Amino acid sequence: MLHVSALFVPRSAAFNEQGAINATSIPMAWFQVDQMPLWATVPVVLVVHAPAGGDYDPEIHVVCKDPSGAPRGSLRAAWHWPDDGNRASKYRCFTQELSFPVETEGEYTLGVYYDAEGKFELSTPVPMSILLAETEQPADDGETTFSEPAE
Amino acid sequence: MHVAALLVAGSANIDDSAIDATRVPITSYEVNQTPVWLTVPLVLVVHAPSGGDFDPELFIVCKDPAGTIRGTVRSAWQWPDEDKPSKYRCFTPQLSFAIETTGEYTIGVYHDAEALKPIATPIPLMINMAGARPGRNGA
Repeated sequence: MLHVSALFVPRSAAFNEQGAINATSIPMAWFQVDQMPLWATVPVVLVVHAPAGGDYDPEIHVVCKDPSGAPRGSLRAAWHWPDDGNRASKYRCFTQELSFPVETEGEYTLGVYYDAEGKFELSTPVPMSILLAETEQPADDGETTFSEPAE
Repeated sequence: MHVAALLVAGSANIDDSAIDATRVPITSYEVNQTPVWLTVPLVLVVHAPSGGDFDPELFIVCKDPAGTIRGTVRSAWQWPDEDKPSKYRCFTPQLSFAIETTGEYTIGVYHDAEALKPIATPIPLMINMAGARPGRNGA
């Protein structure tokens, strides 16, 4: 049985030379955007673990859902996962960017599922609010990522 | 209340309610001798829907390979709703625990100090004897 140790959106995340992850500003609980609709891109960190003796070829999906619960973007992870020597458990970590369209304000969720449609949940999804900035700002042509989050 | 992240990190610093962490996840430690007292930095992020969990309490508990409790950190806080459907809280506690034997320890988040009611599946942390070859179980 595969378990999720961590699923969050940081400000930034990168693998180090040893295959572990350095991440800043965990968690980004909300974002403010200047306009809608837009195409958003956020970094996602996922850490999973499982007991040795199973889950040799797992496949899971990180799915972003909009405030109405509709899936808006997903990442697929499938890998060969041999047991880790004589250890009783094994770990795997991922960091990747997830893109999805933002058409409405509200609470989006990120969850780990067995399927790309987000029907079969592996762990409780994490919330991520997306808010429209109150002051109207000119569109920034070509900008596809979020603005800096307001504190 | 749900756990978004429970990790052993190489380092974890909290600033203005956000965490910078390096080398996540740490999955094992090597010790030079037993018994020994080990302290590890943790990253814990929890969230809950607004409208509840205003005065939560949780326990981060380390158990040894036999399941015996070896270290505990308690957190209790006031958690008012924000102007959003959900609220987050993050912690970077240092968890200290006694190591008397090598093997797979677990670190979990529980509702109770006795670690009977888990909030999420505990994470494994392998403790090896330094220099031990794989397959020798740290002997």
